[in-house]
Amino acid sequence: MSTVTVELAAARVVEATKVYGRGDTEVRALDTVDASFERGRFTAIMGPSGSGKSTLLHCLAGLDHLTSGHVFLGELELSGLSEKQLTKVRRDRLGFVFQSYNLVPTLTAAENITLPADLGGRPIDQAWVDRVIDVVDLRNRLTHRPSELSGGQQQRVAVARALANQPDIVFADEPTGNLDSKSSGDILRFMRKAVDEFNQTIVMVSHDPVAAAYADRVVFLADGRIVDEIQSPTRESVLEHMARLGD
Amino acid sequence: MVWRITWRGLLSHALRFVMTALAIVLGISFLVGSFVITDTIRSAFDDLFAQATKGTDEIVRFQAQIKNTDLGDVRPPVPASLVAAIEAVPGVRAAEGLIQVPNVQILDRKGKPAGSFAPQVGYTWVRDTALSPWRLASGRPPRTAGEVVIDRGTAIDKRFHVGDRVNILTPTAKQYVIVGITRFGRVDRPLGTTASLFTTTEAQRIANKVGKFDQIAVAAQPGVSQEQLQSRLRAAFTDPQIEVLTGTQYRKEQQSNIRKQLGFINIALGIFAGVGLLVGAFIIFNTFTIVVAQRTRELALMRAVGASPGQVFRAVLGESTLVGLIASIIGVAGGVALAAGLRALLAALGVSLPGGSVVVEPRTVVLGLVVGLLVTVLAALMPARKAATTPPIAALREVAVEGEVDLARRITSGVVVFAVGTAALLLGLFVVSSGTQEIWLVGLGALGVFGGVITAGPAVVRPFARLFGAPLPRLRKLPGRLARDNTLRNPRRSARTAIALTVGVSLVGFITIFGASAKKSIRHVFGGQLHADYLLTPGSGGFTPGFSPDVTAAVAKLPQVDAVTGLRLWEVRVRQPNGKLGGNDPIAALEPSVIGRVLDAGHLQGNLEHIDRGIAVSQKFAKHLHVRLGDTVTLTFGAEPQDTTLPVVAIYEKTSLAGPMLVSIATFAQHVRLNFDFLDVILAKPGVTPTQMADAVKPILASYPTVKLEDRNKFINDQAKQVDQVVAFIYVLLALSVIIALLGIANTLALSIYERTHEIGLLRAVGMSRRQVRSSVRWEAVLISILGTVIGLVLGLFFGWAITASLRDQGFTQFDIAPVQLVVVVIVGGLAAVGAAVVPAWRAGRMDVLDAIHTE
Ligand SMILES: Nc1ncnc2c1ncn2[C@@H]1O[C@H](COP(=O)(O)OP(=O)(O)OP(=O)(O)O)[C@@H](O)[C@H]1O
Ligand SMILES: [Mg+2]
Repeated sequence: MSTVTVELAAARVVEATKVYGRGDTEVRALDTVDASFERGRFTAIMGPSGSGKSTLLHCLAGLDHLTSGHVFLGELELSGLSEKQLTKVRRDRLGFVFQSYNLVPTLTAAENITLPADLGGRPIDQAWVDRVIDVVDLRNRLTHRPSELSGGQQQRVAVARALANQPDIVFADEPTGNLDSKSSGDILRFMRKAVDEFNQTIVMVSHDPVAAAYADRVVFLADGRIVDEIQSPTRESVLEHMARLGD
Repeated sequence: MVWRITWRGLLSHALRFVMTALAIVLGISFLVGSFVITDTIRSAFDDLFAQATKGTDEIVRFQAQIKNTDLGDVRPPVPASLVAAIEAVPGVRAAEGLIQVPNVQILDRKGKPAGSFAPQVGYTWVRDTALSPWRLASGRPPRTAGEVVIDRGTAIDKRFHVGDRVNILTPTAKQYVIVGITRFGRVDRPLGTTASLFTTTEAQRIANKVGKFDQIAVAAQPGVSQEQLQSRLRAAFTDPQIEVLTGTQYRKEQQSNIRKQLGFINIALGIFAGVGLLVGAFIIFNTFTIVVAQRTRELALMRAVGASPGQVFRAVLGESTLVGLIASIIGVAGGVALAAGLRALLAALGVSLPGGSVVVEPRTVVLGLVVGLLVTVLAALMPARKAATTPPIAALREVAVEGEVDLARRITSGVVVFAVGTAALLLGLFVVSSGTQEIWLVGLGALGVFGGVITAGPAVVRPFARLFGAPLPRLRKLPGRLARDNTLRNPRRSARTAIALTVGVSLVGFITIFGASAKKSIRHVFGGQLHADYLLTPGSGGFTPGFSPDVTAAVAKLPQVDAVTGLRLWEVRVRQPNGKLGGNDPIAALEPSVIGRVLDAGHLQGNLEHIDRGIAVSQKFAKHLHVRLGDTVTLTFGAEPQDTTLPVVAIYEKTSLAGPMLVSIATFAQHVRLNFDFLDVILAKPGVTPTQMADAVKPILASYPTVKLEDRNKFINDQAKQVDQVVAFIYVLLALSVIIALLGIANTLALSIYERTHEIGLLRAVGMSRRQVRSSVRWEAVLISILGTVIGLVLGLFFGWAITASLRDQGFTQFDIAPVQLVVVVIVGGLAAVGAAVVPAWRAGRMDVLDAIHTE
C-alpha cells in the first residue's frame, strides 16, 4: 500500500478484529480487516448477511469498539478516546444515515437537519445548509415533523442532516433498504452529488447492486474478511462479482 | 396460561413495577404504622389502668357535669366525710379518698423542671396497698405537709435520694423533704409521668380541695363481689348525684376514654395515609396505562394467536394483583418497623412504653393487606380493560400510542365537574350550618374540584408547557427544547403525572395559606384587642398549663406596676332558652378593675368592670341566649353540683380574644377549683419604662423558673409561632403524598425513556453528550413538577381562601396568601423533581448507543 493512499484516507482500519461472544458462541464479525476509505470518494461495502458490514461501519464511526486493531479518522486514532471525546467526534466530524428511524419525532425537518450543530452549540453555516436542502429538494417540507413525511422524504432529511455538518465522512447503513426504487434513486443521486459537488467522503453499506453502482468503489466482505474489491462499478460488474462470491 | 403471561409480564418489566410497588409500600406502611403505634400506646395505657386499679372494687364519686374538656371530665369533689360513711357499709374492707393534681412540677437541682414530654402530676399517698399501685422502693410514706415521695424514674434521672430537699411547683413554689422513693407496680415511672405523692391534707390543700376528695376508692371484704358491693353502696347513698362504679366498670371507662382519644389520632393519621394512597393509586393507574400502551403490539399478537379478551384482561389484572400483594406485605412489615422506630424515639424522649414489643393486631394486618390490594387492583382496572380491547390488527401497526385527547370535551366536562365541586364546597362552607351536612358538602366539593382538574388536566398541559417551557430552549438550548417537547408529546401522561403531585401540593399550599392567615389573624386580634406592656406565660410545654397566683399577687405589689391581671380559662355549660344545659362553651376570667384597660372588646353596653357582680357576654351569645343587660345567665362550672346564676352586667362586641363570656377571677375561683393562672397581663406605671418594670418583676420569678416574662410583641410573636409548629407537623405528614408523587414522576420518566430508547440512541449517535441527555430528562421532570405544583398551589389558594373566609367568625379575620412561602414551595417542587429524575436521567445517559439504535 502506497503512502499516498494513507495520506488521502479519510478513515482506515488496521488489523481490525471484532469478536462477539466466547467459546462455543464465539463469532468473528471482523477478522483482521485492513481497509482505507479515501477522501472525496464514495465507497460501498457489500457482502452476504452476517458478513460484518454493519460491524465494520459501527467501529469506523466510533459507535462500537474493536476487540483488537486500530481505527483512524484522518490522523486521529479512535481506540484511545473516551466516551466524551467520541461523542464530540461524532457530533463534529461524522455524519450518519441509518436504515430507518433516523429522525427525532418531536423536531421538524429543519431542526433535525441542524441537530448536530445545535447539540454542539455551534453557529450554523446557513448558506451551506441552504445548499444542502436544495440539493435534497426539501425546501417546502422544512417545517414538517417526521410523522408528516414519507419514508423517502425522511431518509432525505437524514442525508441532509449527515451533510449539513460538513463532516469528514458520512456513514450510511443500508440507507435505501426500506425504500422503493424511485425514492432509492433519489437518495443515491443526492449522495453521489454530495461526493461530486462538495467533495464529500461517503461509506455506504448496501445489499443492492443498483445502489452499489452509484459508488466509486465497492468492497466485498465475507465472514469478516475483505475478499474482493471493484473500482468504478456498474450494476453488471457488481452482480458478476456477487455471483462469483456466492460460489 | 394466563398466569404464565402474568408472571412473564412482571419479570420482563420488573423495574417499572418496583416504583409502583414503592408507592403502595409507603402508603400502607404509614397506615399500618399509625395503627400499630396507637394500638401500642393504647395497650400501654390499658396495662397502666389495670395496674393502677387492680385492687379497686368500687369507685364512688359525683357525676360529671362537663365532659371532654381539655382537662378531662369535670365533676364536683366529694366531701371527705363520705370515706367514713362508706367504711361503715357492710362488705367494705377499706375506703381511701383520692386526689390528683394536674400541674405539679418537680424542679431538679438546677431549677429546671424534671419532667418534659409527659404529665407532671401530684397525688395523695394512699396507705392501703390494695388501692394504690405505688410501692415504696426506699424510705417511708409522707407524714407531714413538708414531706414528699417521688417516683423512682425522676429520682434516678435527677439524682435525688431519701433525705434530700426538693423544690416543687404545686404550682406555688415550696420546698419538701424527700422521705421516700416509689415505683409504679414494677416500673420506675408510668409512661414518663413525673409523680409527687403528698399526705392527704397537703394534697387537698394544693388541689384547692380542703376537706374533699376527687373520688373514693373502695376495697371489698373477701367473699363480697364487686356487683354485690355496688348495690349495697347504691342503697346506702341515694343522692342522685353520687355515682358508684365497680372497679371493672371504672377501668373500662378509663380505657374507652383513651381509645376515643387515640381513635381521633388514628383518623387524623388515616386521612394523611388515605391522601398518600390516593396519590399512589394515581401512579399505579398511570404506570399500568403506559405499560399497556407500550405492550400493545405484544397484547395484539396474543389476541391474534387466539387469546380471548378475558384472558388478556385477567393477565393484566393478575399483574396488578401480584404487585399489590407483594407491596402490601412489605408495607405491613414496614409499618410495624415504623411503629417500632417511633416507640424507640419516644423512649429516647423519656416516654418509654412498657411491654416487650409493638402491638400488631390481626385487624391491622388485614386492613393493610386489603387496602393495599384493593387500591392496586382498582387502579389497574381501567388499563386492564383497555388491554383487553386491543384489536389483533394493532400487532401490524407501528408503535401504538395512547389515544389522542379530545380537548374540547375534556375542558367542558372538567369545567362542569369543577364548577359543581366548587358550588358544593362554597355551599358547605358558607350556607349550610348543620355539622354533618357541612362536612359532606365540603368533602365532596373538594373531590369535585380535584376531579375537574384531573379531567381538564391534559388540556392544560399544552398551553402550560408552552408558557413555562418557553425559556427552556434559550436556557438549555436543544436539551431544553427536547425536554419541553417531550412533556407535550403525551399530554395525558404528563397531566396524570403532574396531578399526582398536585394533590399533595394543594394541601401543602392550603396549610401554608391557612397557617399564614391564622398568624396574621392572631397578630391582628392580639395587636388590636390586647393592651399590655409585659406578659407572664407558663413557658414551654402543654403539660404545664399555668402558674401560681402567688406570682400575680407579688407582681401586683411592685411599685413600678400600675395594674396586673391573671387570665383563667375554663369550659362551662349554659342553660339555653329551652331550659336545658347546652354544650361546652369557653369562659375567661380577668380582674374587674383591670379588664377595661387591657382588653378592647369593641362596642359596649354596660360596664366590663362590673363583672365583679356578674357576667359579661358577647352580643352574639346574648342574642343566642335571648338575654339583655340586667337579665341573668345560668350556668354550671362543673366543679360543684349546683348551677350558678349571674346577672349580665355588660354586652360586648368583639369575641376574637374575649370569647363568648367573661367573669371576674374571684367568681371563677369561687366556682372552679383551679389553682393557677394561665397568663398575667401587666401594665407599667406612668413614668416607668417597661424595661425598668421588667427588671423589677424578674426577682419574683427566681423561684418560678418556667414562667416567662415577655413584652407584648414577643408574646404576640410566640402565639403566632405556635401556628408554625402545627403547620410544620402537617407538612411532615403531607410529605408522604409528595414523596409518593415524586416516585410517580421518576417512574413515568423511566417508562418514557424506555419508550424513547431508539430516539435517545439516535441523538447520542449524532453527537448528543451524556450530560445533554441527562439535562433533557431533568428539565422534563422539572416542567412536569412545576405544572403539578402550580396547579396545586392555585387549588391550595382557593381552598385556603374559602376555608379562612368561612372561619371569619372564629377569629380568622385576616387572609394572607403567603407569597414567599408559596414561591419556596414551587422552587422546592422543582428541585425535588430534579432529585426524582436522577435515576432515570442517569439510565438514559448511560444507555449503550448501538443497543439503543437497534431497539425498536
Ligand atoms: N451484538 C452482537 N452480539 C453477538 N453477535 C453479534 C452482534 N452483532 C452482530 N453479531 C454477529 O456478528 C456478525 C456480523 O454482524 P453484522 O451485523 O455486522 O452483519 P451484516 O453484514 O451487517 O449483516 P446484514 O446484512 O444482515 O445487516 C453476525 O454473525 C452477527 O450474528
Ligand atoms: Mg447490517
